[in-house]
Amino acid sequence: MLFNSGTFIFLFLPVALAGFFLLARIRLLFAAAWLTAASLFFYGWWNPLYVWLLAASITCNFGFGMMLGRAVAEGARGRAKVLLVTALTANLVVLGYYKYANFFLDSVATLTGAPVSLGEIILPLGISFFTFTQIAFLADVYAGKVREYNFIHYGLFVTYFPHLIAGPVLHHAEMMPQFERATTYRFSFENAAVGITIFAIGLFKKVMIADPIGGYARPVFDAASSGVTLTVLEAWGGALAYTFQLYFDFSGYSDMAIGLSRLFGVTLPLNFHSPYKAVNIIEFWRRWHMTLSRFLRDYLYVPLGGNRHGVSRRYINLFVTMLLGGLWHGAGWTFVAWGALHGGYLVVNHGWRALRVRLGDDLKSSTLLGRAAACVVTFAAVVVAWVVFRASDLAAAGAMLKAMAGLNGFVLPDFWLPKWGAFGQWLAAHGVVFGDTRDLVTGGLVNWIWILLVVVWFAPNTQQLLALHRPALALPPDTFSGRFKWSPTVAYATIAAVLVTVSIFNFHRQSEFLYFQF
Amino acid sequence: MTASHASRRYTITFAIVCTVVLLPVVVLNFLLGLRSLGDGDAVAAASRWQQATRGVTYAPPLSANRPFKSARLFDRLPEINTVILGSSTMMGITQEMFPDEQKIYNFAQTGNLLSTVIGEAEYLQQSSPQSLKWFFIAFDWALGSPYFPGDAVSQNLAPAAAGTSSGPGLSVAQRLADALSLPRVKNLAGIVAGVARAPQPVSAFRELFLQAAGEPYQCSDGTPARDFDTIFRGTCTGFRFDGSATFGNLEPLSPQRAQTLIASAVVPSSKYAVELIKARGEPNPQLLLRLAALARAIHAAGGGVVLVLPPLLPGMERALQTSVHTAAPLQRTRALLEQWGRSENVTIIDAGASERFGCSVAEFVDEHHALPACYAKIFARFRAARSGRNAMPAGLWSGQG
Repeated sequence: MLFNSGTFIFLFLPVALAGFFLLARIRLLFAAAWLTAASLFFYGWWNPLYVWLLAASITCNFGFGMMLGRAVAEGARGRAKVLLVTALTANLVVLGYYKYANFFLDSVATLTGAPVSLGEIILPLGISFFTFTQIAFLADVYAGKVREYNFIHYGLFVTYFPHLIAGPVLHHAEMMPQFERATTYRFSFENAAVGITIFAIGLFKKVMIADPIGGYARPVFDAASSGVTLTVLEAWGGALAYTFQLYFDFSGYSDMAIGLSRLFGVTLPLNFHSPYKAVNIIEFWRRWHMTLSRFLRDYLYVPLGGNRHGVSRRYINLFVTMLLGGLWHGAGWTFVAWGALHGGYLVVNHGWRALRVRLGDDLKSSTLLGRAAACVVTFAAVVVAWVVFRASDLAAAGAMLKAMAGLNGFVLPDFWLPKWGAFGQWLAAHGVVFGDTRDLVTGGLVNWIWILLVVVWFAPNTQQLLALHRPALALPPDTFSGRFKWSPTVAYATIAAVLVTVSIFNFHRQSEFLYFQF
Repeated sequence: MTASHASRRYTITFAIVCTVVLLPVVVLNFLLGLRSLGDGDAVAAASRWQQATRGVTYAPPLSANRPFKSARLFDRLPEINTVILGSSTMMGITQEMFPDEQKIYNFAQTGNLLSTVIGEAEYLQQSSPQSLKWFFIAFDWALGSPYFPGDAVSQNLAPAAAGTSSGPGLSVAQRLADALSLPRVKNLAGIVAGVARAPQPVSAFRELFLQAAGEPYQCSDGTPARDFDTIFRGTCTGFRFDGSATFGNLEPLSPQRAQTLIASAVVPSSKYAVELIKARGEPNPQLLLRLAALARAIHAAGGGVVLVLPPLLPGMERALQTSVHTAAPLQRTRALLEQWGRSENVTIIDAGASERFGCSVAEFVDEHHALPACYAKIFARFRAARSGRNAMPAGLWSGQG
């Protein structure tokens, strides 16, 4: 079931909310159980068969967590280690089978020429998310940080429908206290108002921005993969369209998840904080898919040694973390290359900062112009990486990047020449070719791009608008800056209603969220 | 005002605004949808009107045209000897493309699979062996249906069985979703604005919301038209007396758009490539067997079968033939069809590369829907090739000779 569907908004959500708050009047655990059941129903709507996989995963991991907690409490480190390794292996084997088996076999087949295949394996929705959530839980139990005795609460933590399919990647420590708190189960108009608003913004981002701009990205990437030689303008148009599609799709989903959760009285962690405003790649990863970055840092980078074994080792750890982060996104060489690219970016960024420190430069001092230039460079690097991420294969990515570099020539659509008047004539006189082009780059796309650039670089984000109402957990300090602040007024209620109704009218071109596939 | 009160007021205002906007839209569009989604007796009424006037019309919804076309086919059966069968790709074929002695009805229907088309042809051949002589059958390899598994499905086209008055059976949820969709909302806004501007708003409202159809009007070529649907009004959208479509609601393509569509069509995941690649270009042998049996039966009754590979956007088939993903399977399809056509003595009009027949991009509304102007060129060449011969050569015919 999609958040951007009538079935969800008009049927599932009202029933889930009503059941939750009514049952909470009888007993809080009943409400938690109801929400768990509703979440499983939500998951099963896509494919009922995989509910059993999810239920088995939860049951096994809860069992391992109990045994692990007991072993840790008894000081039996050896037993705990065996249990942890067994549990992690089981989780990774399941994930590996569903997500990576065919990728691995296809790669072997390509290398050896021997066709090996397990046939078509349907990837269970959100398997990466619920596996990682539970791996983090097990690791924390092993470290003695948490223990969980309530199966209903644990089940709800994993299945909780707002985050189940595409995150945020939840941390046990930030969710369980909320499920145990009685106030969570009491209906609050403030939660409703905040939740509705965040959901409305997310829905609008997804339906009215991500989906339409995605319509411009697909033909360009299709053209690249089918061997069409693209011009620099077409390639950049497609790359930027995808850059915005992915951002508004995923941040829209995250907003919806945070808003929906707030309706149930539960506050989720922040997942996006205007990532395209980042002035370097390090900052980008502190703003993009923040809960995944946190997971990779705490459960991969740090266990690999982090920055504790010297500079070279630190860079290797960074690179490996990003490489695996890339593979987490999908079973394909483009994802590996994307991870490697970001790993490389991070290494260069850290190296550059170390050099500046060594040269006596103050990392905290900067000029407006310098920050603007850094923001543009970072954005360009991210766009280049998204091309690799989106392309159907490495050859298509190479073709796109070649075109973006201007190696296929610089041709502008000839119908722009009369529109641009004297400026167009001047460009033509200075070597810019106006020729017959495909309609891959239209006036519509150009308008989308400049408007969305203004939005992602200058507009306040959802949590900044709602900062006074603590919309999410772990808000960065700069959330509270900025002039525009939402308050529960009639005018804002009308705006939220307009966002929702306009989005509903556009459900007919309903599409899935890009991050569902990860 | 406390924060709680402000939030309560906010939530209630939100709910009221949503209700005030959505409820009238749902109710009015639901009312319109009761007719435009196939309920009521619009099929019989539209069919009667066309039989009487020879005008352009259709019974809603436009995309589910089987009941209307079945009703029309049975009205026309006594006077026709040629039937066009297939999906919407064949809807551009008109009576004018045939010699006077061949009277056609274009029975092509939206989304018709080859397995269904064969069943329809078998039914017609068995029910009217003496009158129906010529069968032009679409072989939509580009849409994938010849590669689908399974056998042909027997069909009963008798008016009662084809359901001249039943709708497509949409659920209430589907009707509500349809009522809230942007095209319906835009249409409703247009209708409401039109009602408001009308000299007599009450009668305009009655015509649109309560009457079965709009008032008759004339298409640009003078053909009468009447809209039984609540959308596409006044656009002369629907089917002509010969069963062909006017495509009045669609715009011809531009050359720039065509290049983009072709680029998208050749990627392995495109709808034009998926089934072709999956089947490695081998059409379902069960379907070919049934087609062969049908062709033999029609030949035995003194008629003939012509298979048609419908025209694709100029340059599209060439792009598919040169793509590494689709070249080999497409080649295999063509080779197998050539072999099958020769062995079964069936002529196959190979119009996929429509540019060979002189079709232009502006004669298409999308990748695989050719307007009558393109089909006219194909059939003009076909007639020229046929003239002076007893029979066309069997196998693939690509416009030569």
